[in-house]
Amino acid sequence: MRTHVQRRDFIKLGAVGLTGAGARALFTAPGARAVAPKPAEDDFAYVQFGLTAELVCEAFYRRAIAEGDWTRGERRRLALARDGDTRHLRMLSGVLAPQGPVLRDDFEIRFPAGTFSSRERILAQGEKLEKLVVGVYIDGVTNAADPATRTLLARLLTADARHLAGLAELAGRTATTSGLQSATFLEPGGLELDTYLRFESFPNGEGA
Amino acid sequence: MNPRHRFRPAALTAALLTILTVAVPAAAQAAPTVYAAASLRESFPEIDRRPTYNFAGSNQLQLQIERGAPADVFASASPTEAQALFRAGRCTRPVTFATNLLVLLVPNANPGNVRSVYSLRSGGRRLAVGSPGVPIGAYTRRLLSRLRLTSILRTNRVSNESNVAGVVSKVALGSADAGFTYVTDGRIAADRVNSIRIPRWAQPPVRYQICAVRRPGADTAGARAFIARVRATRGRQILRRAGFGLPPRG
Repeated sequence: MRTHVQRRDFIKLGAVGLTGAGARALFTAPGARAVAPKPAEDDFAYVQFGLTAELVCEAFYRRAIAEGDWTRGERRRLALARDGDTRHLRMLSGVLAPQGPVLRDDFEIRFPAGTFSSRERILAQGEKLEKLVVGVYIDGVTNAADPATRTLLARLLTADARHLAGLAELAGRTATTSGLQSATFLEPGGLELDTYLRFESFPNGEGA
Repeated sequence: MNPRHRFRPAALTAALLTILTVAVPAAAQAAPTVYAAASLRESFPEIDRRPTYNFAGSNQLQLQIERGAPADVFASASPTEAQALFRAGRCTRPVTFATNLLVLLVPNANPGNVRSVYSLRSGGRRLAVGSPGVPIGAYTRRLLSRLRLTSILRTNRVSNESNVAGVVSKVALGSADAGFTYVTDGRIAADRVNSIRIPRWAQPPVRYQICAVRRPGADTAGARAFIARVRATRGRQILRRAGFGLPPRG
C-alpha cells in the first residue's frame, strides 16, 4: 500500500518541498502574485482526492473536539487543525470549480465504530487519516504535471504534516520519533479514503 | 319565434364555451410534452404515463428546444443544459430533483475480463463512452481525470455514443467490453450486464435538473403539475427505487 520514494522522486520532491517552504513567503510577500493552479487532465485526481480527504479530516476534527477529553490548549490545537482543513477545502474547491461545485452534502462521512470512545482511539484514527493524506500529497507533489498545482499540493502537504506531528505530540510522541512519511499511490490511497464515505441517498448498497 | 328557441343557441354557445375553457386546460394539464434525459426513460413514465415523452441526450434536447420544439418540460442529466435554456429565457429556473452515480458496465460473459476500472489501463479493449457533449460523456471524462485514467481513452478503442442508452446497448449486445453509464442504467439492463463500482471519492457530482419550457403556446400549467409530481413523495420514491439519489426536499 505505502511505497518507497525513489531517489529521483525524492530529489524532485526536495525541490518542490523547497518551493513549498518558500511558497508561504512568496504568497504573502507584498506585491507578490500567486499563480493559480491550472491542473493538467490527470492532476485533477490529486485535487479531488485532497478535497474529499480534507472533508473527512475536517469532520474528524469537529467530532474529536466535541467528543474527546482535552485540555484547553489541546482543544485549541485541534481547532487550529480543523480551521486549517476548512481553508484547504476552500482552496481545493476553487481549483475544482470548473468541474462543478462539490457540496458537503455530496458525501456522508462515517468513522469506524468506537473511533471517538477514548482519547487514544481518537488520536490513532487522526494519525491514520493524516498519514493517508500526507502520503497521497507526496505522490501528488511528485507526479502532478502543472507546477502551480504541485505548489498547492506542497503547501497542503506541509500543513497536514504539521497536523500529523501535532497528533503524535498529543499522543506523547515527537514527530521525529514517529518516522518519515512515505508516499502512498493514489489508487490504494483512494480505496482507503473510500472506507469513510457513504452516499446516504443511494439504496441497495451502490453507495454503501 | 318562440323565445325559448331563440335562447337555445345562446345556451349552447355558453355550454360549449364552458366545456372549452374547462376541458381544454384539463386535457393539456394531463398531457404535457416532456423532453427528458435518456437515463430517465424508465422512471418518468412510471411517475406519470400521460405525457408525451421524448428521451434523448440532454444536449440534443436542449438544441431542439432552442430551435422551437414543442416541449413543455425539460429534464436534463446535468445542470449545464437546463441552465443554458434558463439563461436564454427559454425555461423557468431549473431545480435539482435527482442525483446519480457512475458505474462501469460489462457484459455478463465479461469477454474483456474487466475486473475494475483500473483493468482498462492495459488497453486494447472496446470501450463504450458517451460523446463529450452529452452529460454522460462529460461526466465520464471528469471521472477519468479524477482517477488519473484519461489515458484509457487513447489506449482502448472508444466509441462515442450520443446518449447513455447507446452505451448500455453496446455493452448489452457485446459490441463493447465495457462502458461508463449511470448506476440506474445498470439496473435497467441488469439481466444482460454487470455493474462494477467506481470509487466514491472520485465520483463527479451528477445532478439532474428540471424546468418548465417558456415558448408561445406552452402548457405551463401541465408542466408545473408534472414537475410537482416528479418532486412529490411518490415521484421521489419511484426515482429512489430506480437507484437515483435524492436532494434534500426544498
